[in-house]
Amino acid sequence: MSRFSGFVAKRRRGITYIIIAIVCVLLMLFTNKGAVVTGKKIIFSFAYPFQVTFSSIGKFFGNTVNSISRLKKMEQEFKQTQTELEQYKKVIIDFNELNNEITSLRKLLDLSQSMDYELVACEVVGRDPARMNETLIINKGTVKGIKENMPVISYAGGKKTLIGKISEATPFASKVMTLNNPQMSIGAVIVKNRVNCLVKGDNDYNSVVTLQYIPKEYTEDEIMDAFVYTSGDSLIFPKGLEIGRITGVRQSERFENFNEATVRLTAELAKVEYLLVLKTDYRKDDFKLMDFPEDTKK
Amino acid sequence: MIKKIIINALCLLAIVTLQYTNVIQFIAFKEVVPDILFILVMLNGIFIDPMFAMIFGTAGGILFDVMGGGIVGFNGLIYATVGYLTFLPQKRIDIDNTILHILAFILYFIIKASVYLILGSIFLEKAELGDYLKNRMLIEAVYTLLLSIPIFHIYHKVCSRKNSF
Repeated sequence: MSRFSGFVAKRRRGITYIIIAIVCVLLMLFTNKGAVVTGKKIIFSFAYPFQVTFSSIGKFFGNTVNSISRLKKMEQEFKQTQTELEQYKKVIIDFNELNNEITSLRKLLDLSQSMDYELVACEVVGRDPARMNETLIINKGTVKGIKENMPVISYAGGKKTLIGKISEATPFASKVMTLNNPQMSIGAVIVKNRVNCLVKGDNDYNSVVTLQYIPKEYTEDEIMDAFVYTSGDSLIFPKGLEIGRITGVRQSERFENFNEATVRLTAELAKVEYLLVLKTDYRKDDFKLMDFPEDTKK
Repeated sequence: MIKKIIINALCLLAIVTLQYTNVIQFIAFKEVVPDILFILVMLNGIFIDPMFAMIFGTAGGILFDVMGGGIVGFNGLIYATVGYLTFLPQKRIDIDNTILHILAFILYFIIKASVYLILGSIFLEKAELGDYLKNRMLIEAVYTLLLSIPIFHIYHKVCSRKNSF
């Protein structure tokens, strides 16, 4: 006790100051309403770390639960987005197809304007790929003035190319016998040498036909890669329609004095979608209206 | 001692009366009045007793707060601290001339301003604290210093006469 009294006596001034300071601080805390620091705030300061801890734990669990629900929501959104993406892809594909269609139709339109004959534009609606596209079915028939034996052309590589002829016409659809058909024979000319020959349908290979009756003197060196056009000698096909290009020459098996050639058709029969039917009448028309184009070299 | 207390109590009442009536406004410079209580607390601590100065400062400060309608205890703690710290030069330096008084004044004014800033940052609005720092503190320091010099001489004379007895 005496030690405590001695301690107090020794530090009387300091202890008094501390007491005064505490009293003043308490007075400041409890008498000032507008004070920045109040009793509440001091209590809050002590409680704050605990509050933060509890709040953090609460937030953690809350966030976890929220994350799960958000994940579900995101999954749904992802699926929805995927569906939309698929739809957009389809739209793009449709758009591209439409674009191609427009391009093809525009080419056909250009072609129809450059032709001397009346043309009927039509779309290929049926084919038989197993038989090397020997026959195509188009969506126009006698109602549109299409008759049997009318030539059918297309537009490939900026040129009018022969596809075949109408073999059968019904009111709303027609059958096209293509150059690949073995029954097809067309009077043709090798443009380079002005040699008249005969194109015979061949269904061994797609878009490949045989050129027959080439005089023996026209060897491979001379006629290789030469263009073959319709000669206009036949009653059906006008003169000057491109058929294809010679890709190979060989000795004819049937006739000693003649060679045969393989002709690659300019039009790819497997790909043609739109065709033009030339409204010709082989009994009346003068096929000399159309001329051969100048020989096109490689 | 009772005499001292009575005299100081009267002085205190006089200061408070002056401070919170329009009388002191006549000597105000740019709306800043000298801190007479500070001078008394400091000189009481130096010439009489730090303990006495501390209690005097506390009482005076609280009286200021009560009369002024401010935060009760705010000035009390400031003047109590100034009074308490007047023991620092005691028995080491005998403040008997004006230069030493000015040095002591600067020291205690810095202490006072520091405590004001610490407490002010906690209890006062920022605008009020900023106003004190920008507009009032320096003028108050200079004005109070000028006024403290004659009071110091009075204290010095009275106290040295008593000691000589």
